[in-house]
Amino acid sequence: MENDIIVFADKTVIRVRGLSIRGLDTRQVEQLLTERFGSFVRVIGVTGDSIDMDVYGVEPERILRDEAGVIRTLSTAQGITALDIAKLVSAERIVTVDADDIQKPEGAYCARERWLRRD
Amino acid sequence: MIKSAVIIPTGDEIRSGVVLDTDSPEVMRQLLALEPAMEVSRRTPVRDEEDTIVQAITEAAETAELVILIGGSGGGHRFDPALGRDFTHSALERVLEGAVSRRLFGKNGHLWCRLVCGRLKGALVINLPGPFVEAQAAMAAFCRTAGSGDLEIINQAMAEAVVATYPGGADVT
Repeated sequence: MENDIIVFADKTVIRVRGLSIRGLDTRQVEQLLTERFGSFVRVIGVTGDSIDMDVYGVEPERILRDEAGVIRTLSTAQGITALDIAKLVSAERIVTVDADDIQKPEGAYCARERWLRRD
Repeated sequence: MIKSAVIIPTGDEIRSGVVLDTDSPEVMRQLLALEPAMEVSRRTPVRDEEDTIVQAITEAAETAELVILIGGSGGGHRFDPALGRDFTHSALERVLEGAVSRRLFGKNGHLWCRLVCGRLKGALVINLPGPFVEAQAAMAAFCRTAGSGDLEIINQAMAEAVVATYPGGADVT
């Protein structure tokens, strides 16, 4: 049996590339950036050279204006070294869709997810 | 009373050491607070491959009363190729008997998290989201409700706990 829940949180998804990451404690990154923005930050994806985060309730423009500050803050976290090429490559606020478009009976994925679905 | 548990972290970033596995120690802490005599072990982190995860679940269910998977609960690579490959919930769907689950969608229509709860070979099997605060909250909800033995109650409590970690409200449909 499956139940669906729609979460109304508003967030901006950001990605920083040009990092060298090893042994990262995501809690520390979240704490550092939460203090910087004064709003919740959650790490959602990490590779050896990039980090993706959700920033709740902060406009993309404000984050983009603070690119240098974001990178400087990240570089103070254990396990992250900001390289010369470090860059905030995207900051996009999520777009609200109609609730009827969210629940898809054929699978646990939104339309774009299904389109891009691959193993 | 649960006598034994196996924790299975998933994710290439955990396995390779890019990200520290802070979830597993927290899960173990909560399990030992729930039942000090419980035997708890952590498996080597599993790669983000559905068949590999299925195999890990099956093996763990043969030896433990409780199996806990961590990570891989969202839409992940299905939405953005740059994100991690999320296969835990689809692997669980393949192997569990009479499972219940809840899907948490963002208002953007993306699957943010899917929590599954079921049984395999007599073992209770659950999954937790990867982000620490969500894993911590879901695990606490599990510990509060595990004594009921009711999959529906456990799954609902875990989903509500994860929702509560997001700023803003939610609708259950």
